[in-house]
Amino acid sequence: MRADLRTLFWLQWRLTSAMFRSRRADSWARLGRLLMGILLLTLSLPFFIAIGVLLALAAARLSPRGAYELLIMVNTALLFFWLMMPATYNSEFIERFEMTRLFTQPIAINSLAAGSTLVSSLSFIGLWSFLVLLGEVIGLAAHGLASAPLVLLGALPAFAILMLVGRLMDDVLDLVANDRRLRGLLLGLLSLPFLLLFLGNYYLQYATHNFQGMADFLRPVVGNVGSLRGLSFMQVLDLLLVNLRPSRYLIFLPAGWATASMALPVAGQWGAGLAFLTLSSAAAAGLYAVHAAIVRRMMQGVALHMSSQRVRSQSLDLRLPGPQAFWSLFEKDWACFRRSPMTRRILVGTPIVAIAFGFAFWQMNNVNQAVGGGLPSLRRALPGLGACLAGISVSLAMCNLTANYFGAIDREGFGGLMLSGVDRHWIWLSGNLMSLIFTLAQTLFLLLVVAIVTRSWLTLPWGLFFALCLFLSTIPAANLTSVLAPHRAKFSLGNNNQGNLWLLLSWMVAAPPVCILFILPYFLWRPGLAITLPLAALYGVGLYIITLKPLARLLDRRTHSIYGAINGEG
Amino acid sequence: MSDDNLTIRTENLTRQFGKLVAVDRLNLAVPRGTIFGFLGPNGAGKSTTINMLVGLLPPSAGTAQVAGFSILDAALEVKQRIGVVPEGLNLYERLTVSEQVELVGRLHGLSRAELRQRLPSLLELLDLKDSANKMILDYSAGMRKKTALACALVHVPEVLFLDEPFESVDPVSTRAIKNVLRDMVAQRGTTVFFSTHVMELAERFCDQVGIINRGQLVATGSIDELRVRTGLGEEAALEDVFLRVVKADVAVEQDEELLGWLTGSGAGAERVETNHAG
Repeated sequence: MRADLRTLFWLQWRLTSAMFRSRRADSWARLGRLLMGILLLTLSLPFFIAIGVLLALAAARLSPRGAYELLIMVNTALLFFWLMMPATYNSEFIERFEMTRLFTQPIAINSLAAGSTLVSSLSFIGLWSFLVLLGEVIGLAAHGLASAPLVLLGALPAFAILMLVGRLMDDVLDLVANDRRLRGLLLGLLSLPFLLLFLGNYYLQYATHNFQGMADFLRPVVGNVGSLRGLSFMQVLDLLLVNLRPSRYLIFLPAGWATASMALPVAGQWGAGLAFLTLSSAAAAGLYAVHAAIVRRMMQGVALHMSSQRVRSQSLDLRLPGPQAFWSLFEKDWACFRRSPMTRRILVGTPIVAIAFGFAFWQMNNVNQAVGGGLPSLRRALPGLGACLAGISVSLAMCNLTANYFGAIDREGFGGLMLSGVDRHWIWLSGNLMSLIFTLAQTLFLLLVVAIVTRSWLTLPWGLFFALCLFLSTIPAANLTSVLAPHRAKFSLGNNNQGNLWLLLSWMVAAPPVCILFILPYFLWRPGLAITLPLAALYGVGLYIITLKPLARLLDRRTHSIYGAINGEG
Repeated sequence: MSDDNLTIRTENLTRQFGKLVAVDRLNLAVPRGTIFGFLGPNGAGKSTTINMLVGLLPPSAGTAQVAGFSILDAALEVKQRIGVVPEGLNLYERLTVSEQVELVGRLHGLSRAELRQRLPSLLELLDLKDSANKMILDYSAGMRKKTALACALVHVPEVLFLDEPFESVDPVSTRAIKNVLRDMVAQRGTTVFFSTHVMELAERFCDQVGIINRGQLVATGSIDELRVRTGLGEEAALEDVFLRVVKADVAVEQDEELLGWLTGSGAGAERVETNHAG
């Protein structure tokens, strides 16, 4: 087993160090990659060392109870960080330690289960978590050496829980590694656990009358504001933490148990500390058992696949006026959109965003009501604000698709499409029309939630009009990105493909005029909307018409480079 | 043939995916030191069979032994004795070729000294030496396939499972690999089990073949034996034998009415000409 573990650590090290040595890209891209890696190390390492030191100082200077409240928040944030990372961080910058590739090799299940968990500590996030936990241990131990062994002992399951949670998320990705469609869906669903953990815990507190709502939660702090005068920063922080008591809310999560096992002995609660140590150790053992079981199942060939789809050919059979070529393309786009894993991913994401939207606006309403009986200006502003946020969030989500149109939709069919003599205008028009329908449908969904929560039905036409203008103004930039940076879309932070950077830049350049024309007069001088709304529409339509022809020519000229890039040859 | 002389033996090996029976009660016996070609049309069950034999997929029913060990009870022992080029290749793209081969060698317990000795010649054989320090990410499909082959060979396995091993590989490398495999079979008694649907390759390279169609083994034996069994004569090409065995009568070939528009004969041809004229 030791030899296997050594080899797995060696493998992870080689995968990590590979980020500095891509030979595929040209020299500039290689240099950029090297600089990014060095930046990541030189900026993030001191940053996390600083956080570790700050945490050590804070934990040492706060009261034991205050330190506990602070660390429980930090460790819960770390837990969420580990939950999110497998889907984003590892996939592009460092190749994922995908266990399934080792299954034909003679490696025992136990070696693979233990090795795959332990190698997580070799990742950046593993290093960061280690520094943070080290700071916590030093800070807590400073309160009294008698509790130091238990603090150190408590930190072990804390680190194990973090690594195992990340590993389990990786397992889920491994389980669907061979199914692009399921993977697409899963990436959309990955944000659901965070949301459910947060909302579930919130409603548990709410239902058990631990607190009645956000306003009640904040009231003890607000009530003590008067007594803060003359206190030092650390004393104020301590008072805030002890009064706010986030532990009553976060103690139900595994990171909370581990923190309690580290911090409660410092506060003299030895029995509770030991109980939480047992609980967090059991949680770590349970998570490991689940991971080992998944490894065993995967080694036996159990992977999750979507059964091969038999799709019904739902031809729109459009007999509408205008060129038949356009309507044929539209039918093709309709089929590709419906069947694409990316659109499904976005569709799965929309209700999740809607839940978050509903919750956020409900809370804003509640807090507004609780603070001095409500501010009428805020109440009036909420529906418009919600509508604009809905439009912007859908536009940003759709950007992944619209700004990489040929890579995301019907990548395989692009060659055939360009071999045909079809007018390139129709290609843009058809794709853009389909994206517009999709954008408006999703926006409508979010707008309904905002309208129900804020009880303002005017939100619907306002929001839809905003979404339409935003779409028209951003789609030329998205089309340009599709032509100039047509790399295969990958959803990851630190993606070295220029496509993702272009995507964001293009949106940031194209969206502000429409946002300003809608939002500024809405908040500052509403009669002005009579002028700015038609202006926004004119700007969007004008920009689209002006850019359509040059974009069609550009598409024709850059066919070869697009084809190469979307098929991974670029 | 005694069981001792068999490297691969399956008994009613079956694999179901839901209602689909991908492999149906497969009974195979592959003698030691044989090049065994596993032939079949697309979707016949070739890759599923290989995946079961190398321990990537549990059978729904039946058993199999590879190199004297049960794939159900001693999967690790089986994996220690086999080399595999699977359908998906399973390579880490950000490793270099030499690192990838080294990884597999290490997992098979090879020492650094052994790896240092074997790697250069292996990479030379597969024409990978010049780009041994290039990342697999930068390789073409053929180079990736050759890297997977290097991984399968580095620990000198008793049995080689190769899923479409020569697909995308250039003819020079194909010839070199075939020569080495033949030498391994002749001198070490290695067994090569490979799947393909390239009949010419199977005809020239294999000692024995098995033909699978719709999950069922429909014929097995030497190519000469199959020629006799199908009654096609000694000179018949393996392709004809194969088509006879899988009962693919190429019926559409004769249907002029159906394909006339394409082949230019019959009534359909006139319709196309009319279209062009229009």
